[in-house]
Amino acid sequence: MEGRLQGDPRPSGRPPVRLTFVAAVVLVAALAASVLLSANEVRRHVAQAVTHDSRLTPDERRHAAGDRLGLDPAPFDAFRLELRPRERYAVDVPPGAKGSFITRGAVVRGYAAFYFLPAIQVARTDRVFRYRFR
Amino acid sequence: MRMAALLAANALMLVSGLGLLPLLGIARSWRLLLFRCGLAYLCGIVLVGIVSAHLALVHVEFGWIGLGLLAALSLGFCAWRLSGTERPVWRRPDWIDAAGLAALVALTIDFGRAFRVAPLNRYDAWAIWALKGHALYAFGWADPVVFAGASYRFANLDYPLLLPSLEAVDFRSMGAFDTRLLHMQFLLFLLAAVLALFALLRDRVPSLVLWLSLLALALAPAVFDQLLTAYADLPLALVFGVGVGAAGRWVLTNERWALALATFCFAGALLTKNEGSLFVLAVFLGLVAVAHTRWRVLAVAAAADVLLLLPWRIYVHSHHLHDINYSFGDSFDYEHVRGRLGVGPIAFRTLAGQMLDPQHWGLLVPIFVLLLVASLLTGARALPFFALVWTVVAWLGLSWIYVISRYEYSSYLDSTKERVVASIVVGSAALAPLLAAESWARLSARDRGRARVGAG
Repeated sequence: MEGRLQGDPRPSGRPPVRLTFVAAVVLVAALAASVLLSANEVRRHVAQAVTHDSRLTPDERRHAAGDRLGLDPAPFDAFRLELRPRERYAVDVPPGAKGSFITRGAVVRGYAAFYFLPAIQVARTDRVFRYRFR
Repeated sequence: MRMAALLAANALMLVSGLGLLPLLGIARSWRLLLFRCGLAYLCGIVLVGIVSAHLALVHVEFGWIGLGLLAALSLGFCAWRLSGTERPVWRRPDWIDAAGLAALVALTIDFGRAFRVAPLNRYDAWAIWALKGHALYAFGWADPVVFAGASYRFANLDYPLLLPSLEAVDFRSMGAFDTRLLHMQFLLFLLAAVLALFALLRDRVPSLVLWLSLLALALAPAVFDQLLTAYADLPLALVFGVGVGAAGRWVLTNERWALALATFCFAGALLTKNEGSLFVLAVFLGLVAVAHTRWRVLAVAAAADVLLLLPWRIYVHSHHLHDINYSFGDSFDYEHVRGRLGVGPIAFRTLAGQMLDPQHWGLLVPIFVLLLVASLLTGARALPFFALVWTVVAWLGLSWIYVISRYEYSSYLDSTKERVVASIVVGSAALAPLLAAESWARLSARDRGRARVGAG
């Protein structure tokens, strides 16, 4: 310690730095660092999301999920216009390419199930939604 | 107008939650009700979620009338239960609490700019959650034609209905299937959870440490990103996290209300997502490990959670619904497991990397680990061991899912790793302030002891 001879057995005149104080400073500094680090990062995420999403038109918003999947919205919109709530329909779509988990055809069936609600998708019926990959 | 309706519905949820505080023993007087009223909003959201999810199974629609009845019942119960008890006394609010609350409000408003314009475009959000929410809104109940329909198996039909039911309540309140404003409910989940953690821990943790911890959690980029996807993982993590915080408090103080709150939140977690079962099991293992002498109340808590999950499990069983991603039964398929055992360590490491990634979670997990070690070094046992047991069991359990799944592991891990760890990180972040307070108390006691010895 500065100003003291090594091995001097007399107690220091200054109070010892308490462990609780050091621990508290370290903890508060770490938490503050986490807050600042995250705030700096999330600020960009918020700005990006606002900039991108606030520009979407109602049409783009309605087809946002299909657009992300690269699906043509026109057949979906045309078929939905003719559907009534709780009406049964089937989907005719080729299997398409296999993705990580399911085929493109299964994705179309899933998206149709979501997009055509409250009409109800069944395996077989006269009313059929046809979709072909370009 | 729709936004106003959504906020009004949430105000009724908050009122509904107020009545739950005396019921769970959280508030035994008006003074305590005011002191812990921050818990009311999350409790209300979970209560409405649980009630509407159960009613959806028996063909009962839950909308404005249901919300109004629940809120009125709640207020009436509150007034009856607390009549004649100690009234609150006005005190000048702590300036750190005031600053923290102001920061939380500012954060909510800032995040709100993104949430109120977000499109519903992420796969699970529309294919699982919003699809079911829309079906509940359109048909008024969990009509098996959709909820057990062969054409809808892709939508993880065995996932429980708390979140879709809550979405359906919102759609009924707004009078429309609004895929844009739906996102606001996810932001409100965050607000409710942070307020709940504040109310839960404010008398155990110094204000500065508590608010820095809460803001570190709320500002974590993964929290914003994942809530914005409208997936169930973050709502699950937030509800579960409050439950973990309450369980941690119970470990330290043996207050019955803390365990009651934890049990209630765990019921919410169980009814939000199947993975909730793993996390809740991990926490109960942790509780049994450190509080086995209190096994009777733990058994009652576990039984209450099982009971609340039971109606949904009966529905799942009666309609022969199965998890399409994995089955824990495959753990006993020796050939399958033997061929994929190598996946375990890879998943374990990958998930650790996710939890430690500062660009996703800030320093939440390193701080938690630091506090866990500090707590052990200062001589604390129950709380750090509880924290250690449940986090390790949950982490191992998540890794095991990748072993038993039939999917190609790298794709499955890549597409889910960011979000599956949310419950572990949020639960750890909820325990961190308690660990800090526990270590602080022990260090202070040691300092005081040394000072006394020095003086003597």
